[in-house]
Amino acid sequence: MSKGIGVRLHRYANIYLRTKSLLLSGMLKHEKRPLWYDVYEAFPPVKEPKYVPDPSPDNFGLNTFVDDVPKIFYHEDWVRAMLVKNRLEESDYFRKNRLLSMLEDETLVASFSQKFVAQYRAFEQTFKSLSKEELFQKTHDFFLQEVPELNQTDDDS
Amino acid sequence: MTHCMKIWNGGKTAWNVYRSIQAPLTKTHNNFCTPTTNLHISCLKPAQSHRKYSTAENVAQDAKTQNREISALELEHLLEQPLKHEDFFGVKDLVTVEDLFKARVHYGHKLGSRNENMKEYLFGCRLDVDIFDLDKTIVHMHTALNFLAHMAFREAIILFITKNPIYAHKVETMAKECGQYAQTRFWHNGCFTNTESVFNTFTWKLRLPDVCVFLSLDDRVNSQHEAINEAAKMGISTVGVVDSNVNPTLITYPIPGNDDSIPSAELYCRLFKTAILRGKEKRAEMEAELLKENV
Repeated sequence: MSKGIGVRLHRYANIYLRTKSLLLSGMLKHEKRPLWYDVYEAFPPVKEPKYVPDPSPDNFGLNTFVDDVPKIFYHEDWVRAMLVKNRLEESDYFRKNRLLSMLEDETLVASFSQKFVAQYRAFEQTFKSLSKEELFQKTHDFFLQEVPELNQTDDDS
Repeated sequence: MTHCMKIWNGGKTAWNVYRSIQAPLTKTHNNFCTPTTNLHISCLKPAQSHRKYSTAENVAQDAKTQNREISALELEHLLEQPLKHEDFFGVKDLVTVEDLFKARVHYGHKLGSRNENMKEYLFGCRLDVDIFDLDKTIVHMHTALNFLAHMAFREAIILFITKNPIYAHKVETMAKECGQYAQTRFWHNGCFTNTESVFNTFTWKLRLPDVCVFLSLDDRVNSQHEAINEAAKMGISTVGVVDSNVNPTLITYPIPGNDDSIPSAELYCRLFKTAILRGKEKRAEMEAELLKENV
């Protein structure tokens, strides 16, 4: 705060409470209050700032904490995991089509996994009796029809 | 199902090493350890009174010196008017949740870097990457922009602080365009708390900033920026973009969001600039009306 008047104990109370206490006690005069005081009173922050120190680490420099934040998973993550597991994205055709430009907008140019998932979802809505694995096989076959080269083996038989 | 985790509270030893590598003293300066600071020199203009921070009195005195003949009563009335409206400067129209999403504001740091105090602002954790809840961020953003516009209306000194070299220059140019100030270089301890030594203010008085806007709270060494503690000690209000790895509890108006991406930094720069310019324009308008009435 100003020379002689003010408290620098920033961890014990926020700036608003410290100036308010000075004004109420009369140490700081009303004309000499800071510029932000009126604005703070009219439009206070969403949450009143209260200092909470970080936990001190143990001997190894580590902290224990409880992970409360929910994990985000989607229904389609299973399909994506199966794609990666079956290594469909690594085959030559899919790798060529999968070439992404980081500068382009994702909504305009879809990657292979996005197309696959979209087709899976379309099949899921029409064929409701099939299981996950059967639907996956169906979409795999759908994409293979577009690329008969995949079914060819290296041997000339 | 909750589970305990161990995380690394890093950087404290590295900070000591960083601090010992200081810039060498130049011969033109005096015996104090005061290398050239990068606080804009007109930010340190001599104050008319003995107060270190600006008050309604200071601003009225500055107005007198600039020959703007408005009486104290009229000035008080002028300053009270905007506070009665919920959104006097129309700040809520500047940004939507979609803009925040496109600017990648919802990306936080990884699970191991998470600060416990940031839990309430998080929507969830997607494959160990913290995602901010943009519905909460937008509310914080609106309150912070409103505060900035009101402070610009009151002719406050606003100092933009960041230590991220990716957008440091952008922040400096933005501050110039607003007519405000920026400090994006090495921070010398005592700029706010020990001005006598750092700026040699034994013979002249100093006016400190009224708002410190942080575009990133952490130094490059994974520790908190020193200006946060200094501003909190000296009663300087702070606005800051808080990422998931920093402690937001010392900031008066935090904005939970991403501070590392360039699109998000561009968005923040644009928003802060428009809010401040709107405040200044309104002030000029209303003063001109008053002067017309006086004449």
